[in-house]
Amino acid sequence: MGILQLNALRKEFSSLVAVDDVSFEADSGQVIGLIGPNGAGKTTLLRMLATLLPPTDGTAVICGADLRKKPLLIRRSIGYLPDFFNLYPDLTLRECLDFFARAYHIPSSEVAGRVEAALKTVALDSKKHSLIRHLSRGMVQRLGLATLLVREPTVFLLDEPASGLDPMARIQLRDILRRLAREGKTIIISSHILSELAGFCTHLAIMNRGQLVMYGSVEDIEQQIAGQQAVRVKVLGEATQAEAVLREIEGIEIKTADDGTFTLICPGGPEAVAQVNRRLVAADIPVVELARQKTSLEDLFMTLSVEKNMHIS
Amino acid sequence: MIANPIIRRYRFSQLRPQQAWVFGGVYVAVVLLVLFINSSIYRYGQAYLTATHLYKGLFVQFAILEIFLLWLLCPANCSTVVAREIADKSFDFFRMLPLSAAKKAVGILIGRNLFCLLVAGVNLAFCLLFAFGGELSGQFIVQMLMILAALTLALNLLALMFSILNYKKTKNTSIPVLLVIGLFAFGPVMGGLIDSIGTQKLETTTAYFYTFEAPVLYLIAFCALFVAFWAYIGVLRRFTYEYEALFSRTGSGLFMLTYLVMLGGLFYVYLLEANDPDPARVFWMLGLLPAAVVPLFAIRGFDRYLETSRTAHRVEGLFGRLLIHSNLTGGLMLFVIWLAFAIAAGVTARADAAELLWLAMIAFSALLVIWALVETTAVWQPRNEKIGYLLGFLAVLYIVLPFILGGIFENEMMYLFSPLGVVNVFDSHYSAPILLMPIFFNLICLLPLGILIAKRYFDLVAIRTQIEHTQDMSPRLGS
Repeated sequence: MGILQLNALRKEFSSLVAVDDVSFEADSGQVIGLIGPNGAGKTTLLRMLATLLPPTDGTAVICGADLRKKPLLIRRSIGYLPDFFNLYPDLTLRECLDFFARAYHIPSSEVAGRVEAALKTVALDSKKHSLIRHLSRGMVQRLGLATLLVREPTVFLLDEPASGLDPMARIQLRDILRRLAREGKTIIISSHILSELAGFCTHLAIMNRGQLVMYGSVEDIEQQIAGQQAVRVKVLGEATQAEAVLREIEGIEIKTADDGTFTLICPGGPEAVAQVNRRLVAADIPVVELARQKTSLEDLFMTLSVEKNMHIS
Repeated sequence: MIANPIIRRYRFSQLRPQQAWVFGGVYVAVVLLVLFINSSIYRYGQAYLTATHLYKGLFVQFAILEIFLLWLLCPANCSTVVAREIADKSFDFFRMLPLSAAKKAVGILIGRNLFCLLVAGVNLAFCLLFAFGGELSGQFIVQMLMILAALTLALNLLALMFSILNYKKTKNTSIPVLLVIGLFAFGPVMGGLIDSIGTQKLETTTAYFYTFEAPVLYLIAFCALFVAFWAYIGVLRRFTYEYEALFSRTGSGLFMLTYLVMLGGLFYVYLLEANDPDPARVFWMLGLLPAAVVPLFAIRGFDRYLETSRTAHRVEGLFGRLLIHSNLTGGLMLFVIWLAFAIAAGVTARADAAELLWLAMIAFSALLVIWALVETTAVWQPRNEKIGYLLGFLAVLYIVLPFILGGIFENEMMYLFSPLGVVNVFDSHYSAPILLMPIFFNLICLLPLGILIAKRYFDLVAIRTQIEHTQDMSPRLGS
């Protein structure tokens, strides 16, 4: 049994279905990137898993506890960082982390050490006696992460943790998350910055309009991309003749056609690309350019958003 | 207690030296001013004839300060805790703390008022000092302490409970309002305290709880503890079941029961005085209050109806099942409990049975309209979020319009058409046809509401029927 199991989790707000029967599993050590456009349901999903929103239907089991029946037990095992938050402005950083450590039942003898370590990890140890109200946005974001690090829950739920962080802090965040994953923590992180997520996530969950459009390991998704690679072809002369030839090739899909420049979807890898070249040359159509376009995560997301749900195990 | 992380968290901010020195300095300045003014009056004026009088006067003033700290300032602090957390965007963190509801409640009550309680503790020491100096009776001091503690608990728990019910995003405390209230209340409270100390009436005045005789201040404290208990239960429930109504079905019934038992205890002796019908009438009317108010805090949302329809084994009888689980039935349960106690009170007081009968029928029909408005809001809100405003307005109109029309046409009979005007049943000498009119009026008001409610129930039955039909069809399609 995985650390996290979602089974047809659903959330409705009046007539709006914010999360539509989302199911997936996650094991320890996995970092799941949750991506999707605004309004896809990412935050709603995370808030349900954080026990802040009751699901309308479906179930989830986190660290062996049922989401509906034992939310208090789940809260001890998870750490949730909202997308918009603030911390107690009338406390110092040290006092704030002390509070969270004790509230989460860290033994008194360990609190001071953990607080120091967490502040050092997020590079805020020099400000430990400053009031939170005097911190910048980015510092508050780092402090928020520190409130989780001080107690190191089994599951991390992070909603746009990199927002407000400078590039150095983003790199530090990535390193922290990599370390946590090596230690066996399960992390679900939502972000709009797809390239960042692709760098250190082990799995990706793509959501759109409340539905889980695609879920799988990064390697499997990349293979899927490779199998659906785009090819750019530019020809001289009669574009209509070239288009006719291309349409005759089985399995090829013409994505765009613009005055002799075609973008094709060629399933089947290099063989398919070679086939396109052979057929155009055989038809006496001069080929000026024939290149494979590396499909980025953004392209994949844009394509998959409009397709049916696809699951890769 | 200090082990409570929330108290510890507030200890950091409340007892920060810069803050503590400022507010502590204000208190010290107030104390010195009071002492200076009173000693000057004693030395040069004529208000205090002896040192005993001086100490009594000082006791009154420090008692007023104690009341201000514990009954005004502390509840004001409690009433803004949740709103402040929401405004500061830290409420999610608070909700996610793996602390029991009781720990959260105690943490807020004590932690948020830590400095206030420390000052109140010092102030209480002054009160006791001057109480002994003023030769006030030990009985009076004990009773005052009881009242102080009980009302402090009740007011603070009520304030916390209402703060959880009302998640308004505001940081503003009500301290300026409290100061105004304090200023206006200062005179009467001070006068009352002086008078009670002078005549020594208050501590020796007794009242009855059923057949048990006790000082009236103890009974007031007991009533305050009753309120505190239920407010505490409400706080625990809101912290545990954040999306549920304040009262569960069982909770509302238990509250009604205990409330009527307590009310019966206070009225028992007076009900036995059969020559006066007023105690029974007052008991009936006060007893009806929760039947009207509690359903507003026990509203079951449409989600519960969806769940009921999903978990029903069969479609047959689903309409009835929805009705049983509805807000209407909740209100009916409270009314039945009231009726049982009302009959018992009427028998004890040998009251006019016809009067009780008419009161019950008119009140029941009026309450049905109110419950139906609540139910209509609950079942239609998913379709129209603003419907509560319209129905709320209609409820206000329903309550107020008969009084307006009665005033315009100078006809007191029209008051009967308002739920608040049901008291006109007493000593009214209205004939039966006249008394039937408000009942018929209420039934007419119920008609459109009933249709709206039934429509939603039938919608649920239709959805469930469709689901069952689809499930029945699936194997045939597959084969």
